[in-house]
Amino acid sequence: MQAIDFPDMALLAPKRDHSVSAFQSLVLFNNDFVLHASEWFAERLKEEGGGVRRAIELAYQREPQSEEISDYQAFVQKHGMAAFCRILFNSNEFLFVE
Amino acid sequence: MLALQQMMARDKGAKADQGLHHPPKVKRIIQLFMTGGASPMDTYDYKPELERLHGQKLGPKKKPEGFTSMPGAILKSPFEFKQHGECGQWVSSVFPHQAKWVDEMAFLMAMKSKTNVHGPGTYMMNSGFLLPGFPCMGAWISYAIGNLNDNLPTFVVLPDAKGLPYNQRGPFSSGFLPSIHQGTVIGAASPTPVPDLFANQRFDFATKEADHEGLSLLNRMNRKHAAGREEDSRLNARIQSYELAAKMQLSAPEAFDLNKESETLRKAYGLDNKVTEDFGRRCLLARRLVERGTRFVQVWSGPQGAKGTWDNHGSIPKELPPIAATVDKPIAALIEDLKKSGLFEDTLLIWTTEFGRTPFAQGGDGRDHNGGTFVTWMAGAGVKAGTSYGKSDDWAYQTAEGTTYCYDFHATVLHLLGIDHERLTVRQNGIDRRLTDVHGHVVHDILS
Repeated sequence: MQAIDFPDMALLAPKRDHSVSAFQSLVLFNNDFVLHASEWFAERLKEEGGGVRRAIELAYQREPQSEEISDYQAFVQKHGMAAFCRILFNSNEFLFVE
Repeated sequence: MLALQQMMARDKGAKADQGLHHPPKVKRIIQLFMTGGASPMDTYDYKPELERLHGQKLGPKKKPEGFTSMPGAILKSPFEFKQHGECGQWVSSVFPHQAKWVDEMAFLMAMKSKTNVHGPGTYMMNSGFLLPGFPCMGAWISYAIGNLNDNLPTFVVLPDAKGLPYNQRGPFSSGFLPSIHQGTVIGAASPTPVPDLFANQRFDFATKEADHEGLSLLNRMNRKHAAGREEDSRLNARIQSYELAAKMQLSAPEAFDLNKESETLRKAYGLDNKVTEDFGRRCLLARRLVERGTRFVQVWSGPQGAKGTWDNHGSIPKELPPIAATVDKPIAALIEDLKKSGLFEDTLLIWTTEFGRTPFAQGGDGRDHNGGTFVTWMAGAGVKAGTSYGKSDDWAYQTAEGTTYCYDFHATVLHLLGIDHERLTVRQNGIDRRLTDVHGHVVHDILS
C-alpha cells in the first residue's frame, strides 16, 4: 500500500500524496490483489458473454475503436482474458480520471 | 553526450545550456542522512569551553524561537575527544571507526540552518527550502544528468527499517520537476526489498511471455492515450516507470543479492550484528547500486520521532551512543570499500543531518534542537581529503567563521557533478527556480 501512497496513520493527511515510481508499476503489475482482480474481471466477462469490446466499455466507459479491437483480440487469443484484464488495470486510461 | 541528449529530448521547457557546464569530478553519490539533528559537540566539534563552564546557567534568558523548553545549564560532552589522523580532526569516542578515516574526509564545521524544527529543517537540507513542494537534490540531479545506465532507478532512497523520516516521502520529492525524478523508496530490510518484482507462480496466466507481450501492449496503449495530453507529466512518468520496471526485473535481483559479497565484507559492514545490521545492509546495498549505475542513493539513519534517532532530547549519554553505534562501523566499512574498489575515483560520500543541538542542557543531560551550527562531511572524488572549513563559536551554539548553509553544500555537490548551480534552472510560476534558490557559493576550500 505504501507504493500507492497510503499515508502514515500517525499523521494528518487531508490530501493524499501522489508519486510515480518503477516500484509502483511493479506492484500494480504483479501484486496478488491486482492479479486476483484480473481473474475475477475475466470471469465476469465470461458470465456475461462479453469479450474485448465489453471489457473496454466497462474499464474505460467508452466504445473501443476498431484498430484497438483487433490488436487486443490477438492478445487475448494468445494469452487469455485474465492477462488482458491485468493490462487494462495497469493502463493510464484506467488509472487516471479526467 | 547521452545525458545531455536525454535531457534535451525530455524537457522542452528547460533552458538549452543545462547539463554539464564543466568537467565533472563526481559521477555517483551516496548521501547518509542522520535524522533528528546529530549533536556536533558530542561527535566532531570538540568544545573544551563546555567542560570549563559545565553547570553554569549562561544561556538565553527567554526561550528562543523553535526551542522546545527553557535552556538549562551548560552541558559538557560526556564523551572523550581525541585528535585523529594526520589532519588532527577531533572526534569523540562515539565514532571510533569513523575516526580512523578522518584523513579521507573534508568537514564543513559551521553549517547553519534557518530553522530548529525537524520538518522544515529536513526539507531545507534536502530541497533548499523550508516549505514542501520543492524538488530535492536527488531529483534535481536526476533531472539534470539522468542515470549512468538505465536498468536501475536513478535516485534510490533506503530509509531506516523503523520508518520514513520527517515529512514522510517529502524529502525525496520531485516538487515541480517531472514526477519521474522523485526518489524510488526501497525497503532494504524486507526479504523482498522490491516487492512484487514478479507475479506469484499460482497465477498461471502470468507467464513470462504474457508478461513480456503484455508490457508491450501496455506501452502501446499508454502512448496512444498520452498523445494529446502532453501537459500531464504523470502519464509519461508512468510509461517510463513500466519500462524501468521491466529492466529492474532483470537487474534488481542481482543488485540486491548481498550474498554475492564475501562473508568478510558483509561482516565488515556489520551484517552479522543486530546493532549494525540494518544500516550496514543499506550501506552495502548503496555501494552495489552506485556500482551498477544508480546516480544517487540516500541512506537514512533513524525514522521520525525521538526514539532510535539522533534527536537526543532526553539524555545525550544514554541516547547518542546506541544510535552512533548503528552507523559507525558500517560507515567506516563503506569508506574502506569505496576506496579499495576504486569507486572513490568518481563517487562522492556525504554525511549530513538537518541541524545541531544546544550547548545548554534539556532536562538533566539531554540537548534541544539548534540550527545555529552543525557539522557535515564529504569524502571521495573531487574532495580535498583531510581538510576542514568553517568554525563554530566556543560553545558550538552558533557559527563563528566560514558559515555555510545547505545552499553552499548543494552548490558544492552540483559543482562536483559538473553543474553550475546558477545555470541549472527551471521556469516555474514565472521564476527561474534553482536548487540553491538565489543563494549558494561553491566551497572551493574543501575541493581538490
